[in-house]
Amino acid sequence: MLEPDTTTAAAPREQVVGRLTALLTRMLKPTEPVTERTQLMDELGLSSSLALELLLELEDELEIQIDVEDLDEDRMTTLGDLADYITANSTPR
Amino acid sequence: MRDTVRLWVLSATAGRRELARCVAVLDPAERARAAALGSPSLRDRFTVAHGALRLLVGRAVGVAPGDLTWTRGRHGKPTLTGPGAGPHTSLSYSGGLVAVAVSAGRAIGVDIQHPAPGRDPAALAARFFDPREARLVADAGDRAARQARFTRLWTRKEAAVKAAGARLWPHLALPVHRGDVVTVGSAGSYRLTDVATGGAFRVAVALAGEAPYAVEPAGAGPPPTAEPLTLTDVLCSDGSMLERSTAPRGHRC
Repeated sequence: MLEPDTTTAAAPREQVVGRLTALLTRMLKPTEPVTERTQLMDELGLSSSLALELLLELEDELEIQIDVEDLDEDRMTTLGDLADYITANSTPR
Repeated sequence: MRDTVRLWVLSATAGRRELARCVAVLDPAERARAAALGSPSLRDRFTVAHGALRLLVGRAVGVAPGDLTWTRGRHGKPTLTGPGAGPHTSLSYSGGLVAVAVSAGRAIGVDIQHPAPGRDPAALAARFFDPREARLVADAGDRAARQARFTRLWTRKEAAVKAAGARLWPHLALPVHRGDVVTVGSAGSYRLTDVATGGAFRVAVALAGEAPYAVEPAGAGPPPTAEPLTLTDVLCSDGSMLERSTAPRGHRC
């Protein structure tokens, strides 16, 4: 499998990680700090409907469009996994 | 004769004693998942949901709740295997409520959803739903009406996708606003039913195939005043929950 080409990504991965961390902290108010290793569903209890809100917020903030066609729970186990997916599957608006 | 779906909607909160009885029937993987959740309310809800599922299904099939096993399909759909195999089960939780649904012979999906207080649902529908559904949400008077329409559509999509064992994300644009029979990719047709609940929660059920079926909510009085069941009802009942109408709360067992 090819590594995502982060040089041409619509948003750099670090920026995606930063915004996801801030948005999840605001939306779910977790007691522990959110990191790349935080498990979205199994630790934060992120539901699919909240995930939908999260993606739209992120799209608006970073002015990107995320292609959700290949998104799956397996690809959003941790914050880092979701950041990988978004970095590889987004286009600028 | 029409197929029947048994549906239980119950409160996700429970007392210490009831929670302990739920923990006792969970398998090690479920206990580990509960323990990993980051807040007591999330842990309790998970424990009540999975405990109630085991207690209710175990009673329905005559198997000890702790002996039930499920295997997960490619996209996470659980299928009952082992000693209780046969019926199809589905579980959903949102906010402070849990929904458990059981069908004898047809694959099932249930979804319960409380409108989220976050973004205006018109923007979410415009971005992710079929354009006709997006218009339907946007055209609903005030924000509460938009939330209600969005949440109804959302539960119908989730229920259909869960029954099909498919992925949610590629099916967000699946139109579910017209007619109750929908086709989920190559998985076939599913018949949807909206179930009335008290308050702002929405519940939808999907069953494989186009044939009509009945949904029998357990223990509920006429909506919208019906209170959800509690774990105490589940633990103290034969499964019908009819005791609720004959015995005062707190004196059943």
